[in-house]
Amino acid sequence: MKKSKLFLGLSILGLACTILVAADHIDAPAVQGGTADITDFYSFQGENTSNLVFVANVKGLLSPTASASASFDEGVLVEFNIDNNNDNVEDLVIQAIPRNGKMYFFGPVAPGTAGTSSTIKTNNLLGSVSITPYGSQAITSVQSGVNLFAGLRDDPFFFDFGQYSEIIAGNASSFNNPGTDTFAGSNVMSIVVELPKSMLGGSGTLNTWVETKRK
Amino acid sequence: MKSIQYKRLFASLIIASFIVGCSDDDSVSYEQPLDFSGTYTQQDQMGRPAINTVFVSSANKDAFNTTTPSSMNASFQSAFENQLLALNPNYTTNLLGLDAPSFTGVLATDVLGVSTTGTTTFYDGNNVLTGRALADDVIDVELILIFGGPTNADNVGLTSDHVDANDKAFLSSFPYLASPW
Amino acid sequence: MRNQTIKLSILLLFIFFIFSCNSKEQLHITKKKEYKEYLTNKKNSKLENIKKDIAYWQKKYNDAPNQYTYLITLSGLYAQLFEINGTIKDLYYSEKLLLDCNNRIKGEKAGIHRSIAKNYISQHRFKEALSHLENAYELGENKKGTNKMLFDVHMELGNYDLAKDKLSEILDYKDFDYLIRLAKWNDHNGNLDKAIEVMEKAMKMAEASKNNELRLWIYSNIADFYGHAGRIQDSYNYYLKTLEIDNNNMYALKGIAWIAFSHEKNTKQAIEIINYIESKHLVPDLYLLKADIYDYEGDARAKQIALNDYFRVLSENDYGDMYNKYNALLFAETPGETDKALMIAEKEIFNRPTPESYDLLAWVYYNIGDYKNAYDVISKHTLNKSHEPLIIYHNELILKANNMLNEKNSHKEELLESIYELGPNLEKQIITI
Repeated sequence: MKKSKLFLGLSILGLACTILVAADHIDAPAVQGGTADITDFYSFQGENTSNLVFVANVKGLLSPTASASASFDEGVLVEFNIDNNNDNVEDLVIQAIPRNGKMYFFGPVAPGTAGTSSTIKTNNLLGSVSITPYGSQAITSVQSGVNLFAGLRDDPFFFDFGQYSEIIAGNASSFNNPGTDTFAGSNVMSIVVELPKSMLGGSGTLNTWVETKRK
Repeated sequence: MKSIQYKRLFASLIIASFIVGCSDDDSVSYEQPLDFSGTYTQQDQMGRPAINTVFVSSANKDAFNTTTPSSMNASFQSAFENQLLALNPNYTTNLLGLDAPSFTGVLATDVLGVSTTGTTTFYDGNNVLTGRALADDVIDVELILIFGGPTNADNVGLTSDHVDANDKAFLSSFPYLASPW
Repeated sequence: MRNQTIKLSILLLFIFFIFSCNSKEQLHITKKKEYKEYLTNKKNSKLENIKKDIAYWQKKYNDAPNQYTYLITLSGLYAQLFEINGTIKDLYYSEKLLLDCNNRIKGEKAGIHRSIAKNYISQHRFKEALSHLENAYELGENKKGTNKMLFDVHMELGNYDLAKDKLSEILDYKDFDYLIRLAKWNDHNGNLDKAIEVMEKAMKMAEASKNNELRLWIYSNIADFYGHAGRIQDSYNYYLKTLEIDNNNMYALKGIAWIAFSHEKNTKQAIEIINYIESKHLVPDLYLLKADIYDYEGDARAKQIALNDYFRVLSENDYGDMYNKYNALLFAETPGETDKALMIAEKEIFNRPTPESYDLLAWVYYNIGDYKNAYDVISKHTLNKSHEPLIIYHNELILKANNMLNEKNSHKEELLESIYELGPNLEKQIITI
């Protein structure tokens, strides 16, 4: 309590201002990127075997608590790429982008230009679907053979990523048996589109991949 | 005011909202025109599962994520081959009979082949890379091809992560993925 | 005689200027009914969720301690906890988790180095932050992200040329992250109008993306910028907008308290807000703010209690170098404590050789009557090199003490425009420089 005396006459002129308005601003926010990171991509034949299904997942490792506030980023376009003549250049794209609680799908349509820049093919709307809120039954849009879904799902990926990392780092020499599913009990943001194979062209085999693009 | 904005909507969107509206109408009102304008620039891409994680070095990640697949082989095949031999210095060939240059030649072009005429699976013993189904144990397949040698007898501790299935059952119908936790 | 008259008329002109300034801005800006709902205990669902999430991931980690990714998630949650509560031990725990992960994977992940750097920036350990960012840069993954953070750290370290290089490397007018850094650069160079213009652009972008975290960040920061510019009403409006998104945003409440105190001289209201913040987000500097307010009221006893509280909280927690600047300023003006102030100032200069750090040293010299050394320091390091009002104020006094203040080098006008920022206690001092 010696200090009580000491600081009695202390001048603190100007100190408050350095705390508040003048000096340091809040640290810059974390560098963006997370919302455009793809966690997984699937492509398989639908329940109706005339259809093909594409799945793109973003934002992995969402806990149930974090899921309630998770959302798609309106600045991020998810683009499924389809090469139907085996030159690894996309001949068709299916674009998905959220606006006001709905996911809008465009295509399949030839991209304006192939490659790393895209504009949205607004004249080729495939459909739209309300993004399923966490805790609700899956809301799907079904129309002339096209099924659409966007929202949270259990992460379908299973992998002991932790042990894999330990092996790569040289801390372990083999996997455990049983292993640990790193992604168990966690959710992802999923976009699922199912459509007739006839919309995709080609003759037996397609090359497919998914991209995220930011405005 | 509202009608003016309504007119500014893309015609196709208006039509679509009528068509799609019946199945999932939660009445997003079109008070504001939706803005889909602008150019979108690539951030990330993915074809086959975990390829980026396993084969692309930190130094190459930014470039790999924005290289179009048709250029990937030329840009990354040799880096993939180096990484393969770093992971498994004793690599000769694998269960598919591919030597290191051929195997990494396939992998470096990171696209997922999918059949439009039959079974779609990453690998089921008969079909190879004809798609990727939700239940495919893609990690074990990749581990076997990287570490297992020509008969899958090598490196037994590294050819399976012993996580063989998802923690929640998939659905047989759309949207196929299990409901969230 | 003639000179005297001119001086007097200039002084009168200044006084007139102050009044005309004040009358341009409404005196009563804050309205209690607009923010009082944020002064009652509101359920902080963000905080509750973080706690739930920590329990969730901790259990998963306990069940499978080979899953290092769970630790990264946990470290992020503890860092958020620190931001909400102000509890420094959470920031340190977040650091510990990151260092553990980094060791475990042999330092091979750029993202972890960036996370450690972010943690060190919060701790004001800028040199160590730089070293981790250099590691991240070498590794390569997300180099653009690393470059953005390198800009931040170079600015803190006073490496303005390097910061400028980084800024041009990340140039992208469509990128929010770039725009807010461009704003910081302009602000640093005293170009506040341009800084605000760029911030407003970034704000539009954050609003379009509907990303609440970005909106929170930009609203609370643009409120500060408007404050700098004397646009108090706009400043207040954006603190309110911040609170609309995050009812428990203590930074915005602190901003409103400052408006109540500095602009409206409504000390009672300012103290009421600060008392509420104190119950939610206990950080030492709140007590300095209180001490300043009580000083203005002439309540020596209350001021003393506030200062005691400040030092008590400091001694109860290890804040590392985070409070060096405030302590140096406090001790500089306290006879018998100036040695301590000198030591801290020198340490700050070692940590970050910026005009802000050299200002501390000059201020200590000034206060012990060593005007010559004070002038040497400012002439080399701060004169015309900083646009921070407090530094300009110190420079003004040091020049005056050296009989070197004249109409040509005086920034009195600029200071008078900054009185809102500097606070009412300095108003008299500035007028009588």
